[in-house]
Amino acid sequence: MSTIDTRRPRRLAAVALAAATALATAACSSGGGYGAGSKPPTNGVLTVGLLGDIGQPPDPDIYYANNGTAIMINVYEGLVQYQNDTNQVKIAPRLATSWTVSPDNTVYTFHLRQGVTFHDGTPFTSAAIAPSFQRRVDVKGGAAYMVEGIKSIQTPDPYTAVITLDQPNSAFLDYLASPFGPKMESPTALADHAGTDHDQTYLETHDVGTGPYELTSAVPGTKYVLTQYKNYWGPKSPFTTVNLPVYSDAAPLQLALDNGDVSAVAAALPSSSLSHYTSDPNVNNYFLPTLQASLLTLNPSKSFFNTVQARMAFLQSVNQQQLVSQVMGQRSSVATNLYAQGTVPGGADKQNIKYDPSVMAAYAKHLPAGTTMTIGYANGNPNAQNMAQIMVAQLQADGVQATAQGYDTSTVFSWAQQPTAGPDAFVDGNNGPDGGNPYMWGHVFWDASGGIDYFSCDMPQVDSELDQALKTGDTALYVQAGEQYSANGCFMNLSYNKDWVVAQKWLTGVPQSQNLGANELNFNLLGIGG
Amino acid sequence: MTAISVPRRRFALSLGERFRPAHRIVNWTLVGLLVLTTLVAVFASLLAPDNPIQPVGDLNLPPFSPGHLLGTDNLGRDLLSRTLIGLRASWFSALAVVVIGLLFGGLLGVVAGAFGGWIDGLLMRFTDLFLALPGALVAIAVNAALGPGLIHTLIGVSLVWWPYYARIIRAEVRGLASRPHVEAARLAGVGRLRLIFKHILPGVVPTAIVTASLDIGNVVVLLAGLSFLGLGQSAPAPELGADVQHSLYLLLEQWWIPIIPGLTVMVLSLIANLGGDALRNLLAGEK
Amino acid sequence: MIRFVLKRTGAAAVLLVVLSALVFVLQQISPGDPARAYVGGNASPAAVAAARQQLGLDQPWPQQYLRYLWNALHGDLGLSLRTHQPVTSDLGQFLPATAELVLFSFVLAIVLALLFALSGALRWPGTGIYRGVLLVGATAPAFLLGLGGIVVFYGDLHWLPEAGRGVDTSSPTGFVLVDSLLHGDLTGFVAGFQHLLLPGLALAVAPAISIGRILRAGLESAYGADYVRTARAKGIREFGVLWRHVVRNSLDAALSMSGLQLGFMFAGVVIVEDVFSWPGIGYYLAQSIPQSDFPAIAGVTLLLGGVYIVVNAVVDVIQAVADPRLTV
Repeated sequence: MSTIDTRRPRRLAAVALAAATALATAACSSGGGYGAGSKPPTNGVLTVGLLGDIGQPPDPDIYYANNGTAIMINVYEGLVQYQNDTNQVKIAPRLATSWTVSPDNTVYTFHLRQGVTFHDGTPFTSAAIAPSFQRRVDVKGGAAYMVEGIKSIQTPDPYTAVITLDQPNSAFLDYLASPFGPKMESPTALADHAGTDHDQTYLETHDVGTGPYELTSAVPGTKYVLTQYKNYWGPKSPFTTVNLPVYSDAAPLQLALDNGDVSAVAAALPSSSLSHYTSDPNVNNYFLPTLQASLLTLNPSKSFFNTVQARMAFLQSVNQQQLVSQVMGQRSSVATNLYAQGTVPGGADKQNIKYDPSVMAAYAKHLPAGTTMTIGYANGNPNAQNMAQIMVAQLQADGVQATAQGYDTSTVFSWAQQPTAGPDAFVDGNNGPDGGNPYMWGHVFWDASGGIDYFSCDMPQVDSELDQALKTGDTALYVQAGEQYSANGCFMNLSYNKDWVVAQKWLTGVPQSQNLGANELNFNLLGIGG
Repeated sequence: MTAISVPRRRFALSLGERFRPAHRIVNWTLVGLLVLTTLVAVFASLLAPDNPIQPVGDLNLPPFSPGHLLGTDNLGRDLLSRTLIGLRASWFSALAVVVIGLLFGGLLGVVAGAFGGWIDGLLMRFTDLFLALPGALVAIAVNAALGPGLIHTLIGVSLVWWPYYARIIRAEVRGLASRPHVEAARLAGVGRLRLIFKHILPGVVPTAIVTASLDIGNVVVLLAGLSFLGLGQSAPAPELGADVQHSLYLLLEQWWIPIIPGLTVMVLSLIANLGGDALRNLLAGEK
Repeated sequence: MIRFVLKRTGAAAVLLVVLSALVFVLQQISPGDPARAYVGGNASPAAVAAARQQLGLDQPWPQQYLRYLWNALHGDLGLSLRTHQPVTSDLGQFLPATAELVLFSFVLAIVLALLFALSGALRWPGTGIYRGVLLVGATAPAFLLGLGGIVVFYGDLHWLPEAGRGVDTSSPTGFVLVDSLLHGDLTGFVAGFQHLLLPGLALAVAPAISIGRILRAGLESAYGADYVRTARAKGIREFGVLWRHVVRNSLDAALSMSGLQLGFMFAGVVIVEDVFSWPGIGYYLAQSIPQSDFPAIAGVTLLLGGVYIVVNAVVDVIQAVADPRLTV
């Protein structure tokens, strides 16, 4: 084997290391630059990038997650909606033009919009309401509760509907305005494609709505395509096609935005890229109102937090100001209230947790050496991850062996049944109620029968106060329930979060196309400018 | 034919099968790197200038900042310290997987090879069963089921990693058992256990060491891959793969935060592969 | 020989049952709550309980497993908790993309491996850099390689696309490269090729090195062998010698290594597809893990595991045909 090159090993090792460096340098070189921006489309195509799949089928009675709302609110319409372009919780007309509510909150009368057609051509009348609500009850989705307490739906004429509830409910209009609320579905189309599963198979790839767009293609996890509905009753945009491609990682999505292949991104980019985009001259940034917040939930079933004293000591050690400035950035502000921002009139629901880290430091001194605890966060949420790590560093400085752990969402939701299997605390980077009524916040986060009371920290007194307030809409009772729950130390509202939208310069109408109910945009209200 | 049977490797990398023992200096240097890496891992906490978990400086300092050679991350933690402690976690995790594989697979291989007959048949069918499943995919599934965490990752990977060793070592033992000196010892009435310890094990050890050292790099990369899928070490303790995954979203803003641990994974893998090859060459040359 | 083939087929069937049992046990010990994933969002405990019943998750697990196995034999792998579609139809939808990517990448790996082996064994000048780059590429975790490729070739150079296959659906074969040619659509072919290039490379580098190394070892030993020297002495041209005597003689080892590498590409494809949002079953798996969508995870594991088992059985049989001594 005398022919083998004797110097090869050393030389190859050197080349290999050099190549590694070169590869890294090349990968890093584009760090600071800005994209060239993009020209307005001439083919009527708008591309809005999604980060991660929508997670469920785009079926209005099943969909109960997050970014797929972009499809829901553009393809379907409900009777009412939250008013666009305001930070106030206001109900606005959609398929109903006006409505009245009986003083005891049980009878809701709607006057419907005329000249509306479903995508299959069927005219929209009051006859569509009952089958749409019934389907929601039948398919038993997560948001079926919104229409489960209905006693009767009367239709004295095609454009009037009288809905009577089993019990008084002051939140019913908020149910209808929610992005997850009941949508109007074509009775003809529902009957035609019912199959054996209440149209569920059909609605995975089609739609039966009245909205400005039709769902023309749905490849789960990959891409969704909306096409403008020619006979839409309301305002139309120059965008005849809206592509919603799914990106699995933030970096390719950001590059696509920089390169102009993506026109806009709503509520998807990590806060760490705020400074990049806010100083990028080629894009516009919008910070739009939402009902969402970052939350901290403590687990009273585990020994670390089994006393109110321990819980309150820890909550007092949480530096909201630091979390907002260091992690969330300008898309957020420090939360000072117990409920979603703006949902309790006058902001009477003050959160009374005073920042004082010395309480926890003193408490930790009495813990046995080597005490461990875990703060959880949901995988794929960098903001929650960073907040958890900051809290953990603080606890370690106090002498507690704290760790931060990411969990898959399905694991997170399994703790309610078995709180001892969960971590000691959970940081929720962004969560919000289905709608703007205080009940939709208090019931979901604080009542174990509500939905996301992560560790089933429950106070029967608070539950019944909330239920009572739901009937009457009594603000003072909501405030009282919130204060009682807060004093128990299981829950802390960390920050109010905004919907951060990054869009190409030419895209207009962004604030006008958004409301605080959903993080997503009404594509029919967008335009091309410049 | 060399004395050491060349194991079939998983994602093998090398400079080529046969650079010759004449280049002992290069080989010794590469093996030295392997040892040095292990030493760095052992003394990581002494070498680390700062606490890897606590914020110690300004946020997002780039590499070569004063006081922070590799910069700081988005929480103000010293990246040199995190990388060193992370290197320890990754290197020792990989070592653990390989050692567990060697002990379990090796035991199986030695027993099967030395006893032969139906014991051999049974043990090797069992091994083949594991070998025939797509290993990395099963590791992903096991880890996904057990949930994230370094221990769960190690369980998942160890579960699929040993069969290779069982196969290789059995083959080696069978080869040795038919050698004249072992044959002679057996005919002379030496007991089976004594035969294994005195005559077979010493012959197997070099193969085992070479296989293992070549494999560490593969395990380091595989662990990083599992971390990328959200399995693996929990924060805030540093581990290279998890550190890349936790900070990958910063790639376009503070590139050094995900790239430094990523590059370290590459360097570890390279060192393990080059060092493993060099070790084999040295051992082959001595025979 | 027929007995060998039958034996190998039987073993493959047993392996598939073992694999399904393994996947099922994993599903049982997993901490996630699939029913919760199914209804999503702010769903109440009552809604979750209803879903659990609907999905049959409240039954004892041996019963669940037998039902799963029985249905699987009839081509029904259950309902995906995320897409709410039958897993088999999801797999059918996403399989062609993965098959095209893996095949493309495999061909790429073979080409790179041949270049690696030939350039090394024959010491073509200046190719050390190529081998060094390949070597380093193979030590990089696949996701880093993929993202690095996107940043450079899409972000900086604008040469190649960043995600997807470039088309939403492709018919009749489901392979973009084949279908575009069938339709005489050259632009579509080029676009499909551009989309394949980066993910294909990210997936090909590691197996290329492994196969290339085996080939090279074979080449180097064969090149020095007597019969080759004789052939060269006889004046057969260099290339002819190389092809007829050397490459063919090293193919056997390379073939079995290729079978092995294909298995590792199936794991790699999960990561690479995730990075490139490639609409295949690896991406489908990566999206299913966070949602504890175990019917989907089990389906993908069974399908990929099955293909792996079958491919290796076929490789064994091919080798046995070439060399009947191996059947004993």
